[in-house]
Amino acid sequence: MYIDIDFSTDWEQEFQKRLDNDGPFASWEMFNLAFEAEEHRAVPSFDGLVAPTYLPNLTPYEHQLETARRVVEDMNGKAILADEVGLGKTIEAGLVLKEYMIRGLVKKVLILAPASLVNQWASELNEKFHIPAVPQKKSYVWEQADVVVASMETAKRQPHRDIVLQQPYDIIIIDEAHKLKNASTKNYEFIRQLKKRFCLLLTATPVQNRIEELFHLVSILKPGHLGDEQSFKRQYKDDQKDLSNEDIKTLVQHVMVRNRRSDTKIDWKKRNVENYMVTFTNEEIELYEEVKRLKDTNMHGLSLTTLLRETCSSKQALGVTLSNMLKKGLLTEELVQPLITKMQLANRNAKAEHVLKQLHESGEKTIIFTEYRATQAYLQWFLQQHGIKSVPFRGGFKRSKKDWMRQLFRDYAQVMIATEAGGEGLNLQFCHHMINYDLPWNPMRVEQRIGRIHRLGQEHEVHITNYAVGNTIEERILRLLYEKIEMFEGVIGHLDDILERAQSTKLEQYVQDALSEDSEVLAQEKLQQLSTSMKKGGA
Amino acid sequence: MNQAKVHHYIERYLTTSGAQFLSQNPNDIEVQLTRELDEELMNRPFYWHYLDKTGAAPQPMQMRMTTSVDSTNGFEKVHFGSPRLHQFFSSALNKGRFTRLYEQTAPHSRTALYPWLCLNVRISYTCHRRRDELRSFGVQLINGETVDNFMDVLRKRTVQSSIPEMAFKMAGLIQPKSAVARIKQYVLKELSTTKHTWADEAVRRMEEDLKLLDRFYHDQEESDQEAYRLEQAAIKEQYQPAIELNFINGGVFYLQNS
Repeated sequence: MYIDIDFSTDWEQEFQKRLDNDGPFASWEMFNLAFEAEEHRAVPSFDGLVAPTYLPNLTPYEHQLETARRVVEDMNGKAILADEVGLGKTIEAGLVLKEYMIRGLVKKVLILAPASLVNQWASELNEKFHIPAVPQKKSYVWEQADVVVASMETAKRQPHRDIVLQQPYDIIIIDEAHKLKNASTKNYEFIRQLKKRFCLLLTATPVQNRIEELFHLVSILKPGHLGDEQSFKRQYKDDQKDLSNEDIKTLVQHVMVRNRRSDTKIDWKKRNVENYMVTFTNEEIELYEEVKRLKDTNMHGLSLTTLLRETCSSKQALGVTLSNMLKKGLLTEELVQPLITKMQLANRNAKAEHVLKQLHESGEKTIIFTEYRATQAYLQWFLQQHGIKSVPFRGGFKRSKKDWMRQLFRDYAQVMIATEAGGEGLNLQFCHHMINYDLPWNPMRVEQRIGRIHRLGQEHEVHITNYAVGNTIEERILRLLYEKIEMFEGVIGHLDDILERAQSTKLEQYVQDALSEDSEVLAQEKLQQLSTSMKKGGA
Repeated sequence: MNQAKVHHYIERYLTTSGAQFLSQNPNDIEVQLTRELDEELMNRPFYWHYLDKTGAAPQPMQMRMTTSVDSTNGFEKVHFGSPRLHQFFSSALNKGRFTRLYEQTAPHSRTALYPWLCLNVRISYTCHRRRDELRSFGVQLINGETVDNFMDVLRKRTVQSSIPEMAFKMAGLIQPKSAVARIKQYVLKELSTTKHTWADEAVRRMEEDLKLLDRFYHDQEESDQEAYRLEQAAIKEQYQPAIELNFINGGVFYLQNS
């Protein structure tokens, strides 16, 4: 028969021994209690979830239960959990894990999470799911504990690496799995080598730039599901004009669950998104134009783009990069001098002034995101000058400092100013105003920012203001953003209104706009950048 | 398993294990553990080791639990799925594996008691999913009569650990271990004649995944052979249908002819 049949025989031997020795024998009550225990523990059906009956103190949302059910029943325990930020992917993963543990299908578990979330994972699994998860602190934990939570950085390093790779795991759960989008990294190679039966990849952003990233994630779960790499690239290249390829969409849906806020039956607070186009002061325009002039030197296009973006943020941000470039010999004093003169003249920051105005008018607790540390420091000083208290937040802060800043913000300061890295694992439900002081190039990072305040537990409507300086590179970023989002939606389903719909334009239109609106070389550079990034999959 | 059932189960378990109840109401349970229970449940081996070394008087712990969901008295909350209840389950399963019991008979009557072998079996069907089935078999050890759902029969009788006065045992003709073998055969025959659609489905999914894997590696280099083999083994392991037979508990029961 193709079905293995196993008997455990130790009962018989022990039973015979007891008969020969005339005991010891259990009382009827204990004998009956034993059978009852087994009656309670037995799993009566292949279908459905038993985990919720084991977790009366946990009240999962309907979409979380449905996700867990689909992963177990339809996806055979190999899935990408790609809910939008703040919908409780951890709860879904916990439900799936619990289900498998109850059914006796999973014993050895490895959970890989960012270092800052390792303890949180372990305590949530223990407290909410009664799963004895242990954070990996000492090397003996790998072998002694059945459920281990570790960071990728630790796991992939010796001496841990050998132990982890040699151990077959029943299930592997990887949080923030979008970090595995690139197949040529050490992390990716490490994950591919792990021995696993079931696997969950958690990410709110399965596609950040190119659809190819999805191919790599799916290949961790189910190699071949999207074909081999060559044919996938070929197909995608052919389809680059129609990014909503139906085949890929259907295939992806077999291995990925993505719940959107609007799909859930939860009463979500409304998300109001507004774009504000800042008008530079004359001095700022002059500075911007001066920076643009650097293109006539043989400066690398990307460096110039960076400088322009920084100019739109603050002259402080620009100054830091300029001085770094000077030190590295990428710029000469000669070239920098006129910039410095213009910087000295530009003594107002139009964007910061408008932020100040908005903060005064609303009087609300607000989180401001910026890409640059120098801007962060400048804004803090600037707001302080005008009587507004703020606290900084950065990804590099120690855990305890992060908690402390969050608390200060909640109880004391009107404003928190965060840099990009502050994004992951920060919950700010008590705040419902957000300013994107400058926008990152990757739209999914905006989504992660918004997820800090627009999540379960938020009781107010959420207000998001995206700032951009008119007639500058920032305006274009806003557009490029839309293109990327369009692509993302094509495969995975619609995204929230990260930015206003009205501004959205199709790829062709974007190209047209960039060309007609402004004939400068920069626009062409931008276009080229865009098209290469779209084509990379086929190159 | 609702909270009332959880409560009832714990009370019975602790009572039959010899714990002494300090207070008892429909919500809370407070008991003084015996040394044996403490050693088994409280996980403090160093204490007991220390005690053995020093010869000090043992002080078993007390245990305070509540099955009330909104209790605020600080007692350990117990519900289905909480580690404590499952610890009791495991303990009962461990202590209740083997038995030999006698049915109570009318006082002062010479009654014949017939030997039966009871064997409770869990049949687990596993692949990438799992289902359990509990079966309870009884084999009369004189004429070999075999009964399904034997626990239901037993639960209607009153049994005790020693043979009632005046009652007498009929000698069995079949060895208990032969009866166990007979039940095994019976189960195996039943399993081999049943249609296992769940296993067919698992194999179908396995083959599907293996086919995808071949497609993925079809023109890969030699160096990827190792990765290929690893993935292949993982897929087989994930779906391989298996049936696991586990003897939960069993024993010899001396029963009156009904």
